[in-house]
Amino acid sequence: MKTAAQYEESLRKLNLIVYLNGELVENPVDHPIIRPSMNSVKATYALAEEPEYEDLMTATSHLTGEKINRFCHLHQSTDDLVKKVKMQRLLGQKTAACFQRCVGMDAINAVDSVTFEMDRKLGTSYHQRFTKFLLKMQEEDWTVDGAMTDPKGDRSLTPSQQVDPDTYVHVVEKRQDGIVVRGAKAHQTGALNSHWILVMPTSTMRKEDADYAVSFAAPADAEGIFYVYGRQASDTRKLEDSEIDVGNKQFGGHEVLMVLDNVFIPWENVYMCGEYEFSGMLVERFAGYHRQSYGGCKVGVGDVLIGAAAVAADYNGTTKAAHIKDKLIEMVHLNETLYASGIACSAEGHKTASGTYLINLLLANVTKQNVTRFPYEISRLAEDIAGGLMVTMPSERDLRHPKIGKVVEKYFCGVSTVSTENRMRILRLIENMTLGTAAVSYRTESMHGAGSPQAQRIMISRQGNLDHKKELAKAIAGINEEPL
Amino acid sequence: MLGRRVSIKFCGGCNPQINRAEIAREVGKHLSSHGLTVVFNSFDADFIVHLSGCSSNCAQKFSNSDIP
Repeated sequence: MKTAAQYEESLRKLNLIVYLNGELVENPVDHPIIRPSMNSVKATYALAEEPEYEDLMTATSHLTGEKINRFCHLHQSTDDLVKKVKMQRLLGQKTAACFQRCVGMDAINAVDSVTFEMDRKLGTSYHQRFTKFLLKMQEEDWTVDGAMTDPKGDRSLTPSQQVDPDTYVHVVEKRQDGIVVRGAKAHQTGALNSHWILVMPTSTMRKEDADYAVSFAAPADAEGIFYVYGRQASDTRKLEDSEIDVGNKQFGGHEVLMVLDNVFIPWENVYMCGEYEFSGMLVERFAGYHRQSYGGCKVGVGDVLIGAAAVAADYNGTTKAAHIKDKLIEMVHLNETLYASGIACSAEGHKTASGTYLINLLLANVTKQNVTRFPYEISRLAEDIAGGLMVTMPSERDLRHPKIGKVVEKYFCGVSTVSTENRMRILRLIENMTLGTAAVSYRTESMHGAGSPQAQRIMISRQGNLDHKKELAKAIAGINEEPL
Repeated sequence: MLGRRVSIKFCGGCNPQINRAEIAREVGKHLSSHGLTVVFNSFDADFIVHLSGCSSNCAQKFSNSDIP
């Protein structure tokens, strides 16, 4: 396994082409806006080195028997699925941000079982190719960006009906030695902190969209790939060399637009090419795993936000107020409900034909549906407890100013035993998580990441087994539906 | 095989996608016709048939038995 330092060094060797705020970035690793997101991924390596987290952070490879980072592991039991969620909660607690590496773990687990079943039905040899990639990933301890979401253009049109065919990633040429692909993947979490990308189709494809049913792996810096960095609210605070105003100095997340401009992919790295009938299964399984993930990572981040709200109450002198106590209880209740769903869909998982375990899809979708709501309520309550000062207080520079600093100290002090600086720090953290750069992952990503709310409702509708519930009701009500 | 005991072990049936009772009846009838003794939810058997209502497969997951 890589150490945290080795991970950072390995990123420096990549030749990523990155545009940020209209400029080409020379050194993404040390860029002040990007670096906090790198630190979050680095934490997935650092914690794996700590004996106290070893059980959650590492696993035994079913391919080699070697100890590997859990992010490179295929789940071999429901115990593995449960440990995944616990690991994600831990990392959310340690970073208060999106640590980005889950998407690759979810992608390898989905691609594994789908390629196995595809080969069995169609006689293709994708699973063998994929296993070779997985072995290398485990050996090198790579971070992999699981790339699913296409820009999608006009949502009322299918991929092949789009005015611009590149709004969905597609095969533009098939050669003896491989394929050439073009298009883009949007909202790519952690792509700049990844060694490789694992591309999957974005939705169920039909026969006429067979060129869009494509899955493959490529180095993150392969020729033809470039990235455009996504803005986050208050992101330029990171350029001000401030420690307090950024809220979370060390950690963050990022999303980018990944453009694939005629990228050549050798056949050995292609895991789906035209088998449109398996595209839906791949989307469903990847989405299921990723919806499970949110029952861990968002809960860990929620733990930090609840803690921050409680500290703010201490510093404001409101801890003993009954309504504050009740609001904190409500926040815990909501957060633990998310966790309960994440654990439940894992415990109810089952073995697929390849041997890899899949979560209970109904419960995973219920998990994510709750995630589209509860973090918003937890954020609302955190803002309620924090008070308006979290968005109206002066800057760190004002606090440090020889003249104005004294004014800030005097008028923004809460409980007299707590420094104004500490009060500002905790309020800025709440601002960061609810309105600032971290709100990208804690709020909007909770809404749309791993699929927007309606996508879960469709799955819940498919898997909810309404007929069984009707039969239960009829039995209790003594209904006999023999023809009259 | 004659005289061997086969246990049909059910899951809890919280959200079944299939009619477990009907399947158990059919399987039981078939096994009996081959001279096997069919019992339900017992570990005192030569073989166990795990009958789960959905892919969670709780019948096997919580079986705690090494009977084939």
